[in-house]
Amino acid sequence: MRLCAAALLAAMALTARAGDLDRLLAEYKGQGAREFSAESGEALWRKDFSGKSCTSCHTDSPRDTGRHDRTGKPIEPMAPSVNPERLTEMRQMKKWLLRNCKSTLGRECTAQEKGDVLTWLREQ
Amino acid sequence: MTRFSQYTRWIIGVAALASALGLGAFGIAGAARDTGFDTGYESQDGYSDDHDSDDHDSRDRDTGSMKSALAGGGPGTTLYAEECGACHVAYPPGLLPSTSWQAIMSGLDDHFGENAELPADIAAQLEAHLNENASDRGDRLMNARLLRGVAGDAPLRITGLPYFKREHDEIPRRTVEDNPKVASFSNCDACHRDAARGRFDEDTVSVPGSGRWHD
Repeated sequence: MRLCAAALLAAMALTARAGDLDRLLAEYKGQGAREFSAESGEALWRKDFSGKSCTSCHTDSPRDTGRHDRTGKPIEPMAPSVNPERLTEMRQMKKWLLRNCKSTLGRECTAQEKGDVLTWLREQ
Repeated sequence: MTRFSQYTRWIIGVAALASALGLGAFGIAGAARDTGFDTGYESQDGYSDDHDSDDHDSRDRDTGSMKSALAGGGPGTTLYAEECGACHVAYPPGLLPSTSWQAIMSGLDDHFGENAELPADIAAQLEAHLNENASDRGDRLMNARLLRGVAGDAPLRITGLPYFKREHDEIPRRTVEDNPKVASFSNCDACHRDAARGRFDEDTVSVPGSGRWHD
């Protein structure tokens, strides 16, 4: 009985964690995005935008610890497999996608681009 | 020599030895009390403990005297450390006047070349925290020192303050700019290990690659 309750709680916690990401992806679909593609997401991650890219700070592998290209401050890995905190909070995901797209691409990312990159990242 | 005088001499000898030892012990205890503070600091390898900060504040009347007041406090402290400290050291609010913080907070979309936009509710809480703990809300003497020789009333860079430059003018390039583990004066906490808590006295300085700093 106790085991059952523990399993249920664990399942609920996992659902809650995936919940924010799924809700965000649904929101992007509502804004006109097609099916998301992990492959396109990975391509965006590596794409060069006038000398800047996601990899400038996050390194080539989202499983590695990054480093802020201006301040040098370490950035914890983005891959949920090594950093389970990632992609779990709506506010954080929205905030960083807004800031980092503007800083790196010089514009906001489209709903499609954001969904693609999140879809790729969640598999890492 | 009578037995009595031998006894007296013995008493005098013991008393003299005891007072000499006592005086010595008193001297050692006094010396230990004076240096115990610093010894405690050094055992922390450049870091310092919170417990004796008050003692140290009253003892040190230079920059060290402001080190606790600089970081400030209040309900926004944790949010400030989380949000602003995500990319860089959470610069102690007491290092700039409120006019500076207002200018910085109203330009987060171009924050020294980066986008650092925040949702309005978070930004408002942070701005309140910065205003409450800005240099002009703290020690007037320190505020005047920070702003001496500053052009305008809202300097944006702590490292651009004449006060900052004076405090760091003896530091060779190899220690900061040419030191890959420091790279820039903006990385206060590379050397001032307790910078986020507003502590900048020399006891807490440890330069990566060359150890404790001595003026």
